[in-house]
Amino acid sequence: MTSSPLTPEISLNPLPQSDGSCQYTCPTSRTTILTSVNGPLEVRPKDELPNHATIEVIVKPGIGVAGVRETRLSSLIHSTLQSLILTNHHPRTLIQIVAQIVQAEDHTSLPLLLTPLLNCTILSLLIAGIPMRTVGWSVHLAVLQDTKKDIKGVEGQVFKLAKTGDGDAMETEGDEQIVVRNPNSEILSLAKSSHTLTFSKEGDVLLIESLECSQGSGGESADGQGWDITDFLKLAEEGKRICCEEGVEIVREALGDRKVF
Amino acid sequence: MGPMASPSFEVGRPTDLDHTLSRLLEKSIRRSTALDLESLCIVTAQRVWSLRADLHFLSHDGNLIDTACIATITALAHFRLPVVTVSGEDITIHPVTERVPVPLSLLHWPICVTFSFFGEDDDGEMVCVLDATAQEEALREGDMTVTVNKNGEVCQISKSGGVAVEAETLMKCARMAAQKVKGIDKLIAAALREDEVARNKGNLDWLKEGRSENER
Repeated sequence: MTSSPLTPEISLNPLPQSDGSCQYTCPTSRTTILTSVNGPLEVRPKDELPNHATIEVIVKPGIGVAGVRETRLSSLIHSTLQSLILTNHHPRTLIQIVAQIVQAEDHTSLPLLLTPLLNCTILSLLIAGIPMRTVGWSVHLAVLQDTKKDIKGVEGQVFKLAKTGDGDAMETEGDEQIVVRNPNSEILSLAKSSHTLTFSKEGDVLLIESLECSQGSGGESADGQGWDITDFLKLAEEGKRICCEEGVEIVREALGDRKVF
Repeated sequence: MGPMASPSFEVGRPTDLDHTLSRLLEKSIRRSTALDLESLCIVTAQRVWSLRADLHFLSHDGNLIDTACIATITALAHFRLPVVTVSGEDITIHPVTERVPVPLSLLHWPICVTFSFFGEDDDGEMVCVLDATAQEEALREGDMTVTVNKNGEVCQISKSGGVAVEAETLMKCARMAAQKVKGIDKLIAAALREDEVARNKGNLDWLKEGRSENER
């Protein structure tokens, strides 16, 4: 089956036992995530909030037992969802979200996992009928270091942003930087910086998780060069356009005739 | 096993089912010497391969033991180990792109079959159900798991408590399990074959795959 490098494969409600579930496959890195949402459920007394629902996010790794990385991922998802879910509609209850990493190119790469996890979770929340303020969509952008280098197999994923000059004559880079959407681990390893941006349907920022990487590390280590804030703002603007237009379109199409929003 | 399979499972707190499952799988697959452990040895008394099977339960509607067992056996049969060459002190692990990796040497495929007992009917015969759903499991009065391979050899029987069952019924169950396993075995073999054909489209060398057994 061939698919566009920008449209994820989404299957809704693959799990009959949960209130809402979704399987999401990133088209380029083939990262596959399965999420299930149960709620509102009875909450453990120690987690009970008198006028809000408790949100619990569990990220289960594909290999081995959950560790620091999974805790980090689940706390990022938790804080993003906290602002999306109308928790005051179901006080003293529990909304339980379990995300299972089914397949990943690199099970240790946080930026490659975060976008699929967020998108998949949001879709399964919609299916489960959890009241939400709005929907969000996440996109992962990688800014490439070497603009001259030929990158293969990314047609349609690439767009260019004009670089703002910082007056440094020694700067030998071109005046454009290449940004790749949905990079796989191979492209991420060439990237200068990696940005996971999440916007709501209305264009409000929900999450920014940016990493500066040195070439070849795939988001593991940094070379201390950072990125230009004006470049970043342009990138964020583009990310916002992707999330609000294309992301929302993908959600609409996936949900089909289920009129959720 | 987490709340994804069923909301009744709590996070980080293993249930009785968890313990039963891991013990049964351990008995069925590891202690039945299905996997030739000697073939995982690289240098005697120094270096060995370590294999770990992670089981994720996604959706729970009964018969977890049989499903888990079939999944584990299929995964073990599907797994390919990279080729290692040892010359003197040097150990080279060849990447998958360099040498065709070899399958594990599985001596036989032990498969679990679980019977759920619902007490005796009017004629005094035990009512037993194969492949019970979650609801049937909640209502059953007893259960028994028989692990058999396709040759009809029993690897393990476990019946812990529950309703008392006549020995004759158990014999009948074991025979039935042996019959069922033949069908399941064929299903697994067919699935593996299908995958192998799909992976090796246009490649005729795949029939010449190596074996990981040591020369003896």
